[in-house]
Amino acid sequence: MKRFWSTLAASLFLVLCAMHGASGATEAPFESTAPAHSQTYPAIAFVSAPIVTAGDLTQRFPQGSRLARMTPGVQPSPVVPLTPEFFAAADPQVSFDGTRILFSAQQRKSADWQIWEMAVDGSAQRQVTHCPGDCLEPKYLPRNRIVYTAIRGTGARRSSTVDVCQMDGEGAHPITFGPGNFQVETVLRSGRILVSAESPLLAGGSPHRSRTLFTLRPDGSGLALLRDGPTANRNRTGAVELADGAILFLETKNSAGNSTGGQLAWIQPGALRASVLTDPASGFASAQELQAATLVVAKESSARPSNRNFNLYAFDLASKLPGDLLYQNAKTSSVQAVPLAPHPLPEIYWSILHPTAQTGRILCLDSYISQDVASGRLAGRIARVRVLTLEQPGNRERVVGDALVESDGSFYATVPADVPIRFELLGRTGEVLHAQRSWIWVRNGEDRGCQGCHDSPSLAPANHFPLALLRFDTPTPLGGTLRAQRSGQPRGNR
Amino acid sequence: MKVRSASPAIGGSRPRNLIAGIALVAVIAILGRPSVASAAPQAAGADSGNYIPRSQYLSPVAMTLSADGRWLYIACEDSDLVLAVDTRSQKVERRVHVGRMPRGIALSPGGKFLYVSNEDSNDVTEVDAETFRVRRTLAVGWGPVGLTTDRAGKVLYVANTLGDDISLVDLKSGRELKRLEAGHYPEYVALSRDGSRVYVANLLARVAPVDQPPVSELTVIDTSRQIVAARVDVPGVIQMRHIAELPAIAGGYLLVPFMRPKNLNPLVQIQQGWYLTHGLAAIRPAAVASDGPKKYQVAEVLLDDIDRYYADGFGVAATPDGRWALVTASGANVVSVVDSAKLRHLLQNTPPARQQELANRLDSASQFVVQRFPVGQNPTDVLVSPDSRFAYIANRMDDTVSVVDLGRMRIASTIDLGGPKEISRERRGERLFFNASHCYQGQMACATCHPHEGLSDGLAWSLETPQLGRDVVENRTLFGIDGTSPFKWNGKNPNLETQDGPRTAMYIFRSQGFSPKQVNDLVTYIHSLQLPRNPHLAPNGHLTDAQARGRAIFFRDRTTDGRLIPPLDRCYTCHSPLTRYTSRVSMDVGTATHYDTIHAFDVPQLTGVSTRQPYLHNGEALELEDIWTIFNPEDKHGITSDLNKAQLNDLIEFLKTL
Repeated sequence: MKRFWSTLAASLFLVLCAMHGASGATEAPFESTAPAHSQTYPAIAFVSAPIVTAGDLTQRFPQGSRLARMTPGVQPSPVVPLTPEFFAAADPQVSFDGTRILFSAQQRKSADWQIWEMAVDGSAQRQVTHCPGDCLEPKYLPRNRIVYTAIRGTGARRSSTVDVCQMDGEGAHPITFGPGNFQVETVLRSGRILVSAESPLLAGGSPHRSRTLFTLRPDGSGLALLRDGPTANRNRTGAVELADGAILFLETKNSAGNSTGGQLAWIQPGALRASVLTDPASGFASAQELQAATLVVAKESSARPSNRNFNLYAFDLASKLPGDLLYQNAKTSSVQAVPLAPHPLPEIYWSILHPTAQTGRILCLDSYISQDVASGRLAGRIARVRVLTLEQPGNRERVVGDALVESDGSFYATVPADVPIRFELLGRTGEVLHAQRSWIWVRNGEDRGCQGCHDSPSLAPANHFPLALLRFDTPTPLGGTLRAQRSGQPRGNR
Repeated sequence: MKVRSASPAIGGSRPRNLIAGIALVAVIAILGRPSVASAAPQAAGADSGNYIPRSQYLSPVAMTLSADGRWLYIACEDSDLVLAVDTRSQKVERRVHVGRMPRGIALSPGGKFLYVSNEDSNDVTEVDAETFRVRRTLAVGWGPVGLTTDRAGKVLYVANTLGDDISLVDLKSGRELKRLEAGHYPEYVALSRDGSRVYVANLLARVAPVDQPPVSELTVIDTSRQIVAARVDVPGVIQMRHIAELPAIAGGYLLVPFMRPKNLNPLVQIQQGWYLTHGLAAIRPAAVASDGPKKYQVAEVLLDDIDRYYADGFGVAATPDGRWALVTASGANVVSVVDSAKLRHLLQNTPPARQQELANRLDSASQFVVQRFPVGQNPTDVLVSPDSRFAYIANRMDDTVSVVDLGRMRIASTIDLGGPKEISRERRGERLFFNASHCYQGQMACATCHPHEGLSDGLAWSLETPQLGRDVVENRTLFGIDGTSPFKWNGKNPNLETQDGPRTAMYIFRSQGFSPKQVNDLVTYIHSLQLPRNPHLAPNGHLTDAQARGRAIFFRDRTTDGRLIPPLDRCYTCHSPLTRYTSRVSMDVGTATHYDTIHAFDVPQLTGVSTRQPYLHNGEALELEDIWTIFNPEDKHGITSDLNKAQLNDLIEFLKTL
């Protein structure tokens, strides 16, 4: 009986594939090519696609893609198609209770990507977002919300932000506000969101652009670099949090062009710096924790471009080597596998922003502290701090204002909320002593603290009452009239 | 005493003021009625169906081992028991009742006698280790905790936590020889490996101006002369607990767990150690001329990682060869294993210019911590067997001992000491109180800022952020607060459920916080916290002459020259004896500074006031006397300017009895 239903499902899928062929999907049918092995694994959902490319998120699967589910190691191992009616589907994310899948999909090749949800058996599909552009990479948040990557604009104005909305798609709003093309990576168990963005966060990019990992709270406050930050010309994406708190990700070279394969790397608990698990040419396209100490990875089957596709393997974290082949299809690549199992609900983060506030506050404890210099402290006498923003359109820099820096290096200012800002430290004659390169932001009513100008994430502050707080004319109000240029208010996307 | 903008008045020249004052007194009297609402949680706890007297739980908190490692002796603070566990069978073989709340235990050099400090009965029980019978009870100071004998076994050194001193007891006569002044809240002691010194770690920092970082003291006693040989400053830290001395071959460091508070920084964020961090002081004598006093080098390292904190370091023990040191994180339910060679390498290779920074680095623990073992709930004391094979960890909140196999570096077993398996509501609340997992990255538990089971940490914190740097307030004790609502210095929290609910999650823990049920459990526990027995008051309640004179001053209606004191300017009006010497309202007593955004503060209860230094809402008054002589220049905080030094001393003597 079970075999009957599997055959029926596969047949139905073939019919649907044939129907979709007219819209461009040319994917080979699923085949039961999963080998048997002694170890059992949880069921997985994954993406099957004829071609997988890197770069633009919306062009990863130019010939379409399907979500499917299977149970590795079980024979027979039917591969059940889950999204046959879409041109492309990707980014499966299993709900905390293990009963539903959030995913992004294109109904037709020319359609925008939107966020959808379905039961783990593919039933009860419903569209969550109705974004004006493309919305992809959805992740569940606690309290019936989701976070995803939203791509807007075209050409030079094309950019991505990380947005949040309710499970019904209402209340969609961005939680990132600067340049850098932010994308969602994962939701950490602490309740924070791990995102990736170009680094440094420059408008117009950088010749040595990297893509690296940042954390922020679900309300968009508290943007912080994850640990030691980027290496030039390296991209860190595809990040997941393992059960022990390690952050695992794929690292690729910018010079690799359109290659999708990268090496596995991780930042282990307590470590300041990342370390690699595999060699640079190992060709991984995705990784996710499958069960204790085991990943499910998508790995290139061959280094030959003519024969390149990705198959699913178990990956043993202890030996740092691929193990059992979980699934392969000679004609399609299999990527983005996730276990169809419940997983822990992240901690709820209670936002303490003020919806009506138009500014946030920056308190810097000691602007002399900087890891940009060997001594850890900037030389010279810092007299003032200048705050700049980016005006739209055109990404033109504009000075918001400047504030006094006390002799202990502290300053305290209010800055416009939800717009890109950066800082320049000025000497007594107004000369720029040190300039922040990256653009950051402060949310409405956010109190943002920083120890210094580019301080190390591993350095806790000294116990010192900043002189700036002794003044009664602080926080220095800077640029509170820029509200009209904000783009960060919640808005519906229907 | 004035309410907000009222101006001072003495005598009966302003009848309207007097009438208004009487009316306000009436209001205060009504507001000061015993709190039905705040008493409710206690009753609910008792009626919840699983009420279990606290004394049923064992709560192992201190341990010592026989010289051959066969017997593990455990002081259990809630059950007033000392247990003897056979480390071979891992069974409790013997037990003996001692005094109230045993907190420390030590073995005589020959192993014949056990000495058990009883914090709540202010004495030490001497137990025959062979017969396991009580031999005698030795009177010591107030709140004894840590204790050790000298190498000859002639003198017992006992840290009196509440008395801020150290009792030296002649073990032959059983009489106290002398008391040495310690730092603030001395808790744990250790005899040096050569027997020449007794080290005393003080839980709280010295009482000092609130705008300065705390400085704690390691008190060093010369055992040959029985005097304090050194008072070692340990800057920037509080809550130093147990002490372990590494052998000379491993650097000879004294290792002492601590917490580094960041109370002077506004708490705008929690990540990156903005609130506090947890670590280890590494202290050792510096090379000095042999005829000079010993100087000590103090280095500090953190045991926290960037993304995971190991809250509330408590016990520490080293293997005899000094290779490993184990440190319990009582709020994280973890034991960290320190490779002392790696720690030594880090300390010796950190340039002097970076030593201060080392105390704030969250990436150094990964260089010397080689293992983190999850253990039972609220691990306190840790011991290493003489053969270095095993470590024993007392898990206070689940009545077990974890056994670590140090050869294989794994948990070998867990010894069940036999406490109740059912967990009462109060016990659940107590577990929550000590557990840091409810805070972002496990940074802190309630107990982190309320150490010693509910005490204030003695620091002023800039807790909330409507205006950064304003409204810095002194932490307040949790002892005996039942019936003293509202809470917070601004009096905004009507009950503990409000205090410990979402507000704590949002602004303090910056995480999910407690569920409503957990809040109820926690509140039940906090309401159960009682003030320690007060040795300043005679058991029969009889006051000394000075105390009686002070009482008369406290309850006086007229100044020393006979003028009538308006009701609102009398001590007892606002500090009503009907409600633990508070009126449960906010009053402006002229203590607000330029940096306060409010002027009226919740009237603190005076019960237990002598153990609560410093004083006033912002901790500016270091001593009780300062309240009147420095911070009451216009008699807004009651009429006190007519009192002379002797009268103020009498008043203090009375207040100490409360």
